[in-house]
Amino acid sequence: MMLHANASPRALGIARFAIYGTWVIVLLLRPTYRLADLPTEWFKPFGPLALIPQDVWGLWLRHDVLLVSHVVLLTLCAMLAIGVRPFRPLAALAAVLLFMSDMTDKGFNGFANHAQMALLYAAWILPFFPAADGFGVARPRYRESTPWIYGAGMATIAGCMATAYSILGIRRFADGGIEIFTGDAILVYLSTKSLEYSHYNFEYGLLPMTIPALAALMKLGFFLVTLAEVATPFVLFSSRLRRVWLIVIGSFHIATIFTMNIFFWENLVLMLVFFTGLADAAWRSRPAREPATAGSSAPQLRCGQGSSYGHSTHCSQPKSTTNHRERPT
Amino acid sequence: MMKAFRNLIRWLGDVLRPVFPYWLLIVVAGFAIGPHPGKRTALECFAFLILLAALWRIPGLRLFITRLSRGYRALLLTAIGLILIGQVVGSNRTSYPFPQWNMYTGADPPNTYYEYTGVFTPTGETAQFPFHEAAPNRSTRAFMARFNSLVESVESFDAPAGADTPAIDSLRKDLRTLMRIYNTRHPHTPVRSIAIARHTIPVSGYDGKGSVEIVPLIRVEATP
Repeated sequence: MMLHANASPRALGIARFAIYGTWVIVLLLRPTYRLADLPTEWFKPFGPLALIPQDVWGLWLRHDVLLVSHVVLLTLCAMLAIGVRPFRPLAALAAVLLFMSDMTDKGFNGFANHAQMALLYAAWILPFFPAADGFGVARPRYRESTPWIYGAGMATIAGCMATAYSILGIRRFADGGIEIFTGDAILVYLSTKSLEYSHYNFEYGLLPMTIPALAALMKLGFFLVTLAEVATPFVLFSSRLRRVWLIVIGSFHIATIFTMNIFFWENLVLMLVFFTGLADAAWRSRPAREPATAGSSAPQLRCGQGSSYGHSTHCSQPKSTTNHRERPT
Repeated sequence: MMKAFRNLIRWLGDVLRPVFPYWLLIVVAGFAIGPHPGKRTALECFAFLILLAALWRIPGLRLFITRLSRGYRALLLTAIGLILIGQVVGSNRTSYPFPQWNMYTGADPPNTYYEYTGVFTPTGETAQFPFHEAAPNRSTRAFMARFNSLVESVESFDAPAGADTPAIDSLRKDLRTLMRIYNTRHPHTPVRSIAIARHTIPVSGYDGKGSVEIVPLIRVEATP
């Protein structure tokens, strides 16, 4: 059984809250409008956005325009996080503004990297799904004619994240070969990231340079992390593999704060939501308020039988829960 | 022996056939868009094929995908396909918003970095110039990369005064702009100058931070 295959409206709602909540924090920490002080000639758009004429970008990069778009985006993300409806049009608008915000930020760097891309993809995928049907301020709903839709939303985002992790690991093997693990590459990465400019100023990454046992451990850890990255898509199908993966990748993301002054806290949030069963478990612990779906042990609720989902216009008689193939697709 | 080999080929065909058209589409699109196909790309594409085939062997995935409607199936495959195409393309400027995922993948990374030391008035205090306060990008290191590449583009910092190369001119101009923005935001503790130095970490024979080789490159004064 694939993780999230039978996710509930509440699980997808928790994912929605985590994604837009994380965006709210990102936008508050780094307000894009302050970049308007930088010279516009430093800004170089990429990809399809490079087709937008420079004059239009000149208008977009004005302080007042960036400030207004920032406030609108922040408000939108906050509203979406708490599940305000109509979800899809609001989420679609947020997706466009987040794309522009990301381009504005990276356009001044002179190059595009994958920072915050997983979070951006999640915000692009969510508008296709009814992510405000649960865990929000609006009245809960359940689409009984398409119960798989909640799991599809969770799995599409999880699949994209898993693909990204996996191709990163494959790239490390293809690019660095086995030498990247047997040589001193990891020691160089750790030491340079410990000494160059950062917000955290941890220097533990220098320790392996003077302690050979620690250096060997780091090389082994680097190899194991890369293996775990390559195997990421498979963890969605095996709880045992997932437990090992969470330990390896979770410790890796924590260790990079102290050894490389890099903290992918957004990825940790996404990991908790999409690579653990926490969001689904939050639903199972409250069966009386939630609908039953395939494969669960929660009691089946009929329309209007103690479930607020029962008032939904999509409500219908419960169907068989024994065989997934029999469910409408 | 021949029979076993034939069976193996048949088995491989059965395993790869369901994912082959999807994989081929990704590879063709990636190579058509991307300017950098090479030995590494070929290796990666082969790995993608194995990965996709192995995933398709999982009954849970097949069951999940068959439960989806056609539109949502297309969404899932498109999203994952675009991420894979971005990796094949090999140029982030071209493939954005689907850039490469290639963090710390080189076996021989440079053991150098640049340090930007600011001198602040009125105390004369020296400290690393706080780039994030002048340009609050989401990744300060990524923003600094534009200055690092300017520094790297300078062939020689020893040119006599008045004979500056365009690269040095450009570096001075951009750093002065940054200092002006910082000073507008911090009128009571403005930065007077920024000194850039190249730091080289000895990988073998490292003996504390004192063993890091520091080469001063250039000092840029703020515009009064």
